[in-house]
Amino acid sequence: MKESPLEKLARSYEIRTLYNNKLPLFNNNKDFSYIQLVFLNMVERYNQLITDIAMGEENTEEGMEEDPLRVEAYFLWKSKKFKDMVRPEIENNNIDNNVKNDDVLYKIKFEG
Amino acid sequence: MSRKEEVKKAREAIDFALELAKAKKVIKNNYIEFDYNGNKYRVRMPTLEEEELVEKKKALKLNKMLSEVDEEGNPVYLFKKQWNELYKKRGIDLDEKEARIDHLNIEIETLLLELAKTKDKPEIDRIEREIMKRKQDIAETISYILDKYQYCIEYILFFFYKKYLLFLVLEKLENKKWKRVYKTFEDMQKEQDTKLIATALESLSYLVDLRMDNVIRT
Repeated sequence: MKESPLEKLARSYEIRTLYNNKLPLFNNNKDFSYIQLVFLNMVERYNQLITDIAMGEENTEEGMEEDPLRVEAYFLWKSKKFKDMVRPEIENNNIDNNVKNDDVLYKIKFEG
Repeated sequence: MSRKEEVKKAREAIDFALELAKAKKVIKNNYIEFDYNGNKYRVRMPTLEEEELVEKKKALKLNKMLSEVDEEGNPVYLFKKQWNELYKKRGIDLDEKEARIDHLNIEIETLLLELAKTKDKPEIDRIEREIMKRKQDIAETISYILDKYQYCIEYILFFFYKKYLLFLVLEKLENKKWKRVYKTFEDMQKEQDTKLIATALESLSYLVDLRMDNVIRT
């Protein structure tokens, strides 16, 4: 699937360099527009994906970042994998009983 | 590659570069400027006060719609749920259409998980075609549902909200100062130049989430 100009821009070297160096992407630094928020989310995703590709993570390969459907597929698979990994922990009650719902994902007790 | 194909490819590349430049412009600021008929216009983000004002106007509009009755005392405007029941009596099941969208979304998710695990090019192309077919089906179904609900209170109210917001944030550059294009909302309603409004609404949709399907499918 062909990417949109916004997607191409979000994964561009220029934008990722600004983002990684915490330099401003926009002229405004508050009151972000809807498209700016969508764009920020895209930049974060591409940044994550390009790191994953460089690390040779499972189900990644060079060039997949140019295909938005493959990008969408990868992140869906990744979040599902994460949930599948966390679910047994929850079922085994290996969690802090004081936290509920979504917080559960972030409050797993690690035993060292 | 033939000469014709080369020209087509070059044209596509230019179009894409123009779109890219437009995308850059759209995200750079939280306002969008555009030229129209030799004048400079902009659509900016609404202030908190303006948002409050729109909500107030929406409440007034809702109140007006709820109190409007025809000669026989029947309400002129109906809610989505009431239209849904009326359509059902005429044999049009819109709930079934909404369920179809949910079903297609589940199928897309399954296909996406399949896509994530393959690196085989022909297989990638096949899965993507299947996903695109379903996405197209969803778009057509949403369009069908929106068309059926176009007279419901929720739809009219949302359309009013969009237009009122536009009235507040659409400005024109005059003597180096940005000024509201229309003095009153009624003036904007009377505007003959629908292209200006359509262009400005498109710009507004980049600044504020104006997806209609979110309003109807709740």
